[in-house]
Amino acid sequence: MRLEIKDLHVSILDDQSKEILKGLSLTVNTGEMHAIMGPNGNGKSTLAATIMGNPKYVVTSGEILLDGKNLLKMSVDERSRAGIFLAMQNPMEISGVTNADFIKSAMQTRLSEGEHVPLFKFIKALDKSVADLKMNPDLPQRYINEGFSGGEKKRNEILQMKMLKPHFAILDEIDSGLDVDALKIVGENINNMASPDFGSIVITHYQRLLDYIDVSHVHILMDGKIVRSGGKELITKIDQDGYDWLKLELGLEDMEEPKKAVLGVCGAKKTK
Amino acid sequence: MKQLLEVIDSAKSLIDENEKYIIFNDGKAIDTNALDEVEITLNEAIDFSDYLRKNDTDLEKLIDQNAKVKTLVSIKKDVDLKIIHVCDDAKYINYQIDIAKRLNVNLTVVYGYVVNDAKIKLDVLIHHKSVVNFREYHEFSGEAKINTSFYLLRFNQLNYLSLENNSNTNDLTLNMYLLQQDISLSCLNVAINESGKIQNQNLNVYHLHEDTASNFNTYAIANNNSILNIKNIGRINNGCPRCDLKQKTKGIIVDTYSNIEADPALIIDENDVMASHGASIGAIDPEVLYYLMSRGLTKEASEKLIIEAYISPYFKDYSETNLGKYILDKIK
Repeated sequence: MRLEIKDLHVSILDDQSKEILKGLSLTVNTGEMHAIMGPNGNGKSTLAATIMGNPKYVVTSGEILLDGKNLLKMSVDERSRAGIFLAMQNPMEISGVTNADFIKSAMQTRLSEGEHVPLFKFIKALDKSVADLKMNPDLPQRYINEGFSGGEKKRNEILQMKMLKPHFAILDEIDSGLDVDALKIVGENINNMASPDFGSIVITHYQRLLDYIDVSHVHILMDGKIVRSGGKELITKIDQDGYDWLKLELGLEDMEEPKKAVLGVCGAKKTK
Repeated sequence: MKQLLEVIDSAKSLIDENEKYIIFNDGKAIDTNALDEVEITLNEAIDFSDYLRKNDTDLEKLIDQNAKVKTLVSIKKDVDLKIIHVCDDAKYINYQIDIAKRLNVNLTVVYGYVVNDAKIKLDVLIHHKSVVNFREYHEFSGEAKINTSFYLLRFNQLNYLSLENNSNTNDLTLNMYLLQQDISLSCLNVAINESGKIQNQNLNVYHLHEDTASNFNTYAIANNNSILNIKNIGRINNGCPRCDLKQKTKGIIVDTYSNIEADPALIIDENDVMASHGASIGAIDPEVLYYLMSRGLTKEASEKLIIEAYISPYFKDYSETNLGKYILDKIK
């Protein structure tokens, strides 16, 4: 399968004058693992949310195609059922719904009418995935992300991914909030998903996650566009030199909002 | 008559195997298997005024004067008991439950078929050192006014759960009187209004003695152009230090034209106490909806899951009972 993003322009729903993605193009095939890196505030998470169909963002032009089908015409749930998965940066807490029930309901949506998720198989697969991710065995019976640590939430996203078996997974800063051991476990689990039927886009700031994931393509996203693509050598270059060299090369200004300094009088001592 | 028999049969279907029960018709007990644990007396109400410094509402007066049947249910032993009311004639029902001291009692009260414009008054007196789990389910088809008062004596622990799923205009008043020391009260009230009409709830907790604690949570859902008014008053009287009072109301408005109005109020007349209250009313969180849909659930399935989750505390350890299944089926 192929996920194609063509000249994508995206704004925020609440402020459509503010364009975040400014003509982004990217093609990902199943069997490939792509990493997208880049400084803060340049559109990495917006790209992830737009592919999934987050209503906070508006596509002003361009297209996203999944095996030639227009993804932008699909609702969020249709995109999911078509094979797109987004591991979110800040997964929601939902009290009253257990992880196991939620995952089972999500799996059920992928079946035809009259078909049911086989319970025994489901429990076995869930237990195995929980063990693979070295999660607490009682976690499936707990409410979705309620009372979870940052690391547990991220592992829970990967758990859902493993169970739902998407064609394309977008992992939006899945490494934030993970300690070194958890990072290794998550990285290995993502790596183990690699297959001719699975493609992924790993969004990250840091090299550390990519130490554990065998990515085939690396892209740098700046100023709402992919400005450089290459192989793993790009990761090493960014880790050593940061992004300033690229900004200079491309003539880009710093996209981050400058922080305003406020001088207050509280605690100030008047001197003669 | 045939219709009444059918109603009674359907009431019996809510009783689990080996469960103790009393079925009331128009305030009179017509069937029970709990005579070892319970004594039922007609027209012999307890005078609660000894226990109470203040209470009287117009509804109470009205019911006291006009009640066709006054029934006293005295619980003498530990028991799991279900009380089901079927009212096809009487408009004014006044009954009382008296729970003896040092008991562990699980009590479920169901108001099923109730005649239009009914007024029901229930007073529950719990003697000291008893632990009571009290669950109520209201399913009125006609207009109804219901007034429930609990009188709690020392070292009581009351866990009160209520679910209202009425299809008409209703006024509900719930009074919790914490009359003596060392009482722990936990309340969970779930109100679902899909009737297209106005429903009012007055939920009052009175701390009338020092060293008492209450935690009152209300979960409200309004759908299908319905209005829910929830007035929640917590009162700590002068001379009642070291009380702990908590109130919280959460509401979900499902459609555009429904409304939930929460009016929480604290009346605190003592210094050395802890008291808090809050209310949050709104539509279903779009972020939560997005999260569920991003896993493949349709918008409708996601909304259903969110609402089921919202009322799930009522069904904790209860969804497999006949009544639990019946309610869940009704709500779905």
